[in-house]
Amino acid sequence: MDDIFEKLQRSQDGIKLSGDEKERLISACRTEPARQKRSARKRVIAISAAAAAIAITALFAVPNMLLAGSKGSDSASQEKGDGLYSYDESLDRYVGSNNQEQAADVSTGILQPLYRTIYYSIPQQFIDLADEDEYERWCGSQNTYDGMAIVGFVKHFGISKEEFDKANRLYAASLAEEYGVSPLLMPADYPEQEEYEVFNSDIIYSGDDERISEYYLKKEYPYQSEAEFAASGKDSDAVEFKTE
Amino acid sequence: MPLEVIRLDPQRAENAVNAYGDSLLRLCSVMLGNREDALDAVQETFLKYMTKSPAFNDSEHEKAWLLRVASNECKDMLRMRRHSSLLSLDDIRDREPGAESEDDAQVLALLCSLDEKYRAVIQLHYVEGYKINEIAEILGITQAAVKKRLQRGREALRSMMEKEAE
Repeated sequence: MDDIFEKLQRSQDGIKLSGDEKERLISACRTEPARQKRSARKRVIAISAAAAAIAITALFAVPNMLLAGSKGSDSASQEKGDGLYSYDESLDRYVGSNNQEQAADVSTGILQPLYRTIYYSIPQQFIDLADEDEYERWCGSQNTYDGMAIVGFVKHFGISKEEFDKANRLYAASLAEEYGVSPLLMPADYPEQEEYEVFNSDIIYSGDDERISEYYLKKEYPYQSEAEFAASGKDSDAVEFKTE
Repeated sequence: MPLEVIRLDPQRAENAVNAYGDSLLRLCSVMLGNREDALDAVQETFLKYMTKSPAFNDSEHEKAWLLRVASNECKDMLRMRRHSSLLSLDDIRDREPGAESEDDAQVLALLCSLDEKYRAVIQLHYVEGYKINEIAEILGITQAAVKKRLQRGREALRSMMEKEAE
């Protein structure tokens, strides 16, 4: 077996940055600091793009259903399996996204997520509380789950509030380390703060699905970026999540 | 509470690209399966390094932080793009031919065909030389999960090698 890994090391001798690529990377670091938030926005943009793709697919699926007559329901099911819901399957940390997560913007016809990013998220620190195989099986069964992903996870795996809070602290610590920020219980001022949100266990364990869904609805942010917020000269009213 | 942003000296970025760029490219290439996406992930990682990196204790701490950010960037890309896992070896190596044999290249192809979570731990352990507790830190998972993934990844590689040999 060791031989395999020696081969593996040798096989990667050719994977290295060329001089030009290094120059481009260094140049990007010097000239594109404004792009620092790009990846933070990317997730929301990607979900919106996926939702738009779903909307476009639906525009074609509905006439097809009507044309198919008595076979309409079968055709619709096929569309659900292969097209309408397929983007869920590519998001292994994001489960449960069928009915509640999108709302059509009437003026544009483009679907938008109803809830904030964390509503669809199960970070690794929580996955570690579950048996890995059972988690994979559960994820595979969640295409029709209708609610907040972590709530379904907690119920299925019987996670206690104490275990949950411990995992939440680990998650907060990882956010602090990765992004160099103070994690938040609820984003307050600009959309990028969604990236730094941690779970509110009092809400999650309230047992009140309506309250949970309302709490995690997407917000109307007064500013579009951290820079815009900073330029306003106002202090954030975000509630800080204490990691210790 | 405004988010604090630590801005680094551009010279430090150049040093980091020279010191850690190849390691990041190898990890991202193995996780994403093609060079262009890997370069995007490496660039995003260095942009975060420029704007968000904390104070580092030493160069190992700095490298581990970069690998962790790169790994998360790859996971995000795998989630958000309907990513093709098809591997083009010529695509992920530099344009200049390497000294490795076809046999070595086959092992790399097999690694890239594994599930992403196995690829990352095998890459970090066997190629980058990290210990289990260090990989757990980098990937933000438990040591038990690292051991399990290493074991399953090894088994999968062995199984595929045996099939290839038949």
